[in-house]
Amino acid sequence: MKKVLYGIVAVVMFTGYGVAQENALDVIPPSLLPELLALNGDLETRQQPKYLSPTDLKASDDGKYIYVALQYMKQVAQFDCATNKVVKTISLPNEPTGVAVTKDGATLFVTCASNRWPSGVVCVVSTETGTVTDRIAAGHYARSPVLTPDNGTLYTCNWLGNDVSVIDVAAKRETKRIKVTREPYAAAITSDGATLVVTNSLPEQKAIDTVELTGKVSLIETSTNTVRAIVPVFPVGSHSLFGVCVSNDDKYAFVTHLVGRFTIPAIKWEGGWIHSNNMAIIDIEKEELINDVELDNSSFGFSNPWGVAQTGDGKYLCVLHAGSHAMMVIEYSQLIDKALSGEDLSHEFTAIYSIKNPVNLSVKGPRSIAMVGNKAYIAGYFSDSLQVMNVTSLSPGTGNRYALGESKPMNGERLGMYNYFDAANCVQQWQSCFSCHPFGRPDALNWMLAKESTRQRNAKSMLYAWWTPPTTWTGRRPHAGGPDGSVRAGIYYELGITPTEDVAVPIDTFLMRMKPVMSPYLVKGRLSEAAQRGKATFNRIGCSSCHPAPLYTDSLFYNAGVPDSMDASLDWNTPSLIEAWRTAPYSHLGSFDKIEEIIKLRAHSIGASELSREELDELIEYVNSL
Amino acid sequence: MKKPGNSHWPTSLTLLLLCIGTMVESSPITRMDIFDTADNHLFFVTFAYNGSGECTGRSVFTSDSTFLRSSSFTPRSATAGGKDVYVDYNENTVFTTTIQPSADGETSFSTVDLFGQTQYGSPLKYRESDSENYDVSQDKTKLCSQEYVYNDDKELTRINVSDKNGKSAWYALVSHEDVSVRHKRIPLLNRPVQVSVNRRAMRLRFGLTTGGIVGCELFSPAGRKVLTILKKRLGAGCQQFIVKDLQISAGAYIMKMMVNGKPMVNRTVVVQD
Repeated sequence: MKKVLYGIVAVVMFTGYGVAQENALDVIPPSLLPELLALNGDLETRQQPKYLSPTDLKASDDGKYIYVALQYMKQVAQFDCATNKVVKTISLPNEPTGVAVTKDGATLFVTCASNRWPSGVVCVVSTETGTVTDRIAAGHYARSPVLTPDNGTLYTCNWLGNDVSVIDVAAKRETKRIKVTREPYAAAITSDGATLVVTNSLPEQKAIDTVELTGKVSLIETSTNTVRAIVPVFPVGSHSLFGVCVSNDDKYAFVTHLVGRFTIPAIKWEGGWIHSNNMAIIDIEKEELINDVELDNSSFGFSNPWGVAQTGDGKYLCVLHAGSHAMMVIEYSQLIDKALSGEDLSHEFTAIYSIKNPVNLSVKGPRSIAMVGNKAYIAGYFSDSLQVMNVTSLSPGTGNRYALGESKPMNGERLGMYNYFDAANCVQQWQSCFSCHPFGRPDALNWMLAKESTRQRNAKSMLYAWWTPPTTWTGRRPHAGGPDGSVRAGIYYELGITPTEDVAVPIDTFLMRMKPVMSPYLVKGRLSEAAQRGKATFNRIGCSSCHPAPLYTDSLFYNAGVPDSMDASLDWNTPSLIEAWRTAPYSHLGSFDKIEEIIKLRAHSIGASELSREELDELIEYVNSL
Repeated sequence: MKKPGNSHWPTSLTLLLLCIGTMVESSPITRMDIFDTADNHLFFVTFAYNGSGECTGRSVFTSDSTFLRSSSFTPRSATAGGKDVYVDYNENTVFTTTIQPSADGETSFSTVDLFGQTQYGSPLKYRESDSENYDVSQDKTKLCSQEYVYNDDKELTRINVSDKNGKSAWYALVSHEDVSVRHKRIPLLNRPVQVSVNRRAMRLRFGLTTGGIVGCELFSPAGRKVLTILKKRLGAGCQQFIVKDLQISAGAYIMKMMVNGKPMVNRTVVVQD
């Protein structure tokens, strides 16, 4: 009897334990964690290699180390300038977008944000232990961290939140948000800490404005943390203001940007006809643009200017050209003399020709530069290495490359992204796909494209364009991809070359796989209560008829109530509402700078035009949450 | 655990089975927190159950509690195959995951987006390489390995993930509802143990069936003690404590509660800004 009882007990125990473990496998099967890690960009797979993607770098004050933000690796690399080797890698919870270093070199402030997780966070990192010691919440898609000289305050550009975070370093807390104009991307501070210079990468006006449509620079008074001045970067059509530095003497801010010449038909490329690649020079004290300088040659463009820095001896200004994989070295004092001459240099090729020295880089897609004395450290976004060169002794093939980590061959999607950024796919390298469609989104300008004669069309987002055919406002192209699609037509007509399949197919892949960024209007990733009510209104009054979920377009043509005196047609392709929060201005003419204006047009929606103010606000909240 | 109906069974056997039943009862998994090896909290998952105690869905959040996506599925066994439907981005279905076991002992899993595009190089496959160890591969190339770790009560408490080279890369801490406390294991601390915490204050609520010395401490995921929240003799009844200005950084911690030196609660809490 005793043996039988022991047997029963053993069976019950065995069964019990087995059930417990089996239950756990039901809830967390062995597929779950790898899947979550892969979707979060942590687990590397064949389709999703973790390219280093160096996106920002800063030098320590003593010049001993360069800290490089490796975007897809979710790491910061500590590069030893003496040995030219990475001596430490620091893991981060999300993709790093920028780095700032304290004066003593003991602490890094690393902004982190990604398309998957755009709510910005500043990771406080101990350089000694290589660990994150604190996290500080910042704004939407925080980037470009800048410390005041006393290291008491940190600023971040909240790129897709349209504001700047003010962070009390001692309290490790955000204390204020400063509203700026649109998509603040880069920032620099004067050495006395009095003025923060912030570039707003896109114009905020209606695209039909042909007089004042420009990207802006916000000058922020740090003593009050208020915007002291907004400086428009003329000429008209300036956009993609991605780089800024303050001169060593604190007098000037240099801002790299493009000039989209959208008021003339885009029928040729030469001479910067469609886009030229420029740098604005702003007098910080006077709060005014003193000149804008074209960086291109008359017969050759230097596409997509990005990072900019002055050498330690002050003799040179170095500008990176991400689309042309080049660095322009400009004699500083002569540049200032010419800028102050009063002559408009914004489309003048000869003015600085004799004082600039373009240097081809071996790293691809250079975006960020750090200067240690006269030595430039340059990170190429599409390279896995750092290029180091002495600016005062340049010669062809100059500079060495040092590995930042494991180098990986590009897969189709990555190659598509590279081709998209590469100005080699344009006649004389004047522009890249990225020039008119920064990050796959519109440049906020109207364009008169080569095959559309003189009719203006607002640039469209490429997000989901593959999945919402036809493309273009008129539906001229039946698809985004393929032989008769917009991608190849764009390369042929707007970049001026016949696209080969090894260029176009990867771009198709890159665009196919593009995913939206979570809206800043969502509250912790969910619709706010107002947006939920707006959603009900959206469905009730029939918005969802033409903008049905999940893509929020039926891809059909309608008269949306936007008159166009230049065109016989009143019917336009219905745009998707996904990311409407970041794709202003609206309509095929870009004639509405706020989504509200088009929503409440009676000819666009009778139902919306009869809503109360509160209902309309809720509807707008919902659309902006998509 | 049902009491045996046979009245002829000796009382001692009934008690023994009851005791075992209590020991092996599987507490529902309520949450999984994922970290890298630098102890950076990456994201977490919460699990939902129906009235029968079957897991019916889960939600994924970033470490700052931003909702990423939820999935719903009909209850199924890990080995029976099935489909998860992911809902994210404004309540629209964006991903669909399918798990498919095969006769050779490998289970493939694949995620596609709303356009049918495979994600992360799907399909991946996993295979049990050893007891409670699973290798994950793609095209016969190993991507990572997982080790499922259970406690003495055979509850899943941790999953260690090593990369393709066998180097430790991530780990997940698995939290269970404190059923063992509610049941008779040590009938001193009863439910609910409610924790509400941010960097400025932590509120702790629980009930005591009898008095004793109650301790509550926070540990880092690596096991380092970070803070003693409470160490006090308390009487029976409902207790509430609010500890202000925690002076700890945002992130995930393991909260351990003890009564008279005996461990009662071992729970992951996330301290937010």
